[in-house]
Amino acid sequence: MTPLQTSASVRRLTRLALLTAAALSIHLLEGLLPNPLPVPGAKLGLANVITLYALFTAGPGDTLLVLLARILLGSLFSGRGTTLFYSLAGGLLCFSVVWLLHRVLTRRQLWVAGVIGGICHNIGQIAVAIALTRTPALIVYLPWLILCGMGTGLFTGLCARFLLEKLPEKLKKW
Amino acid sequence: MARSLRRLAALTVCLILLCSCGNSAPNPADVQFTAMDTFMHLTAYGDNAQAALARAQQTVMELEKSLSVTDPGSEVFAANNANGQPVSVHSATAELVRFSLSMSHRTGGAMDPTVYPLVRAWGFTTRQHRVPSQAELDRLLPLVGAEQVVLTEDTLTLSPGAMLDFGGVAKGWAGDRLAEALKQAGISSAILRLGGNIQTIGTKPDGSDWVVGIQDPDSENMLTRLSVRDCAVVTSGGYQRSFTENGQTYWHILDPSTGYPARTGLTSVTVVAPSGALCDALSTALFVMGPDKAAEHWREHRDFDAVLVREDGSVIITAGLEAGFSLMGGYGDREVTVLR
Amino acid sequence: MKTKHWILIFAAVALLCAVAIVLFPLPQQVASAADIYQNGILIRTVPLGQDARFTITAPNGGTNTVAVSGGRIRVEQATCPDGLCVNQGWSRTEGYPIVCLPHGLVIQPKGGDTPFDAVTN
Repeated sequence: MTPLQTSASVRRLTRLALLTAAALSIHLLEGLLPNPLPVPGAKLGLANVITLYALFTAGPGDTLLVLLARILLGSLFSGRGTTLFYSLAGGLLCFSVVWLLHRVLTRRQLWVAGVIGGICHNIGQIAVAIALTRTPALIVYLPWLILCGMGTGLFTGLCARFLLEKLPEKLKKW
Repeated sequence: MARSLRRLAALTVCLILLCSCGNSAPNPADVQFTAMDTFMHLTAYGDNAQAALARAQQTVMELEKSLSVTDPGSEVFAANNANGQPVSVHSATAELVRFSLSMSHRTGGAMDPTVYPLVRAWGFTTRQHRVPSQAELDRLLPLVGAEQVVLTEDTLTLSPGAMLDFGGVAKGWAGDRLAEALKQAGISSAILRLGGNIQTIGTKPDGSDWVVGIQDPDSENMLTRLSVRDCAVVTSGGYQRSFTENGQTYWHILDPSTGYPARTGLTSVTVVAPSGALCDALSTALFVMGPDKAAEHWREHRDFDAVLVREDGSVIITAGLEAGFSLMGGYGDREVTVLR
Repeated sequence: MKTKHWILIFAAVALLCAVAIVLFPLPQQVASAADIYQNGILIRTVPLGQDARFTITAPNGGTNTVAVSGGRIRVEQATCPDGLCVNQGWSRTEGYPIVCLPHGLVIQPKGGDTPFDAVTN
């Protein structure tokens, strides 16, 4: 590798690490906010702002890396075993659907990705909740969660848009 | 490009620093056991909470032994079977006797520590329920009453045939002793569930009140919930122990003056006050008094709060509970009266 | 796709959710499972989402038949002398345990949207 290429991959690694750390902090912080579902481990999904930002600047591969790293570390630090499943379901569903759609969305429409991501995140959460507690009755929370997901998703989408403006450089360039 | 990287780094560092503000809920120490003929579940927070709870369990077992009516080793047993002779007692027992007598005096005899002969006649002590005859009750009634008990500093004398029983205040009393001991051990956040007797110390670790549900006397649902801190909550109701014979229901809360189950139109009484023993004694007394006398008693003393549920389902609460009071979903049609 | 199309889609979804919320209100207390203890040891955790009936035999030979139905749990029948556990009826709330003292059986529902720290009764 030439010195230029080495420093490029180091910069990429650094940036991914920083993104992971940021996502992790948000993930842990949002635990302080009220729980959308009456089950331990469910989360609002605010950390998806990083997922959204990364998808539009770094491509699916790196985004997935950051997502999985954040989920793994997050559930380790949270101390609750169930957090892993909720975060995986929420994060992966959000990631996959937004990735599928990101080509049809413009940067200005990042909030749309946010809303969709928020909805998907919460659908993932409720699916896991029903599976883990074996209480199909929880499905009654679905409309609440979709509405809530649209709200938090809008928020994360706008934040991601803000991030994109302040930190516009694509990772791939590095 | 470096600028962007630095910005990202700055953002991340800020977020990480914010994380240190978050407080993770501390794990509670928990102990569950059976004592005083009931299931007990104690939860406490703080360092040494587990050890403090283990000692608390010990304390309850010892208290149970010393207050037992059936255990030959207890002072209460000795006094009950001394046939009029004085029995020496420890200061702890004397204190409880003094408290019970003062409560009997305060409630005009509605709560009486000497009703044991009557309770036994109905079979509530052996769970072999029966309806005693009027003649039997007439024979037992003279044995009941605070005047049957003479207490000096360290001796206890009962009239022949009279018997003391602390079943009506034992759990509340235990709750107070436990709360004292736990506070001395440095615990400032705990909730003690002694059967249906609840005793709380401080608030939950995050500063919020403890949420205590009051059960609907007629179903498994919760009628309402109270947010409390540093106090006890005790409920008495006929539904707790009763039997039916020939279409008539008889319960274990007796009117000491007649010997029959107290029928005053109430199905349950819940009392809230700093002292568990006071709550325990008053919940029984107010049930026996009925809604009108209970309201009078509250206006006279005002050192407690209460929730009374009548047979028709309506609810009476004292003014101290009014703020933020609401019935649970499904009970919106119940009438609520506030005593002032 | 144009932004206004997205807005329309989201508005429609929100409306559907609102309708669903009105049609299907949240239940009062939904405990999700119950822990069953025998003499202080957790022997079984039962989800309350599906109906069930089973019998537990205590070390002293006594039996309790436990039933789960409609998100609630109770002791349907027991061989204990006082039958207080059966008398307690259904529980669906964290904080309201069903207890059979003679058999050392304790049923603790857990989870739920309005958890109580304790229940007085």
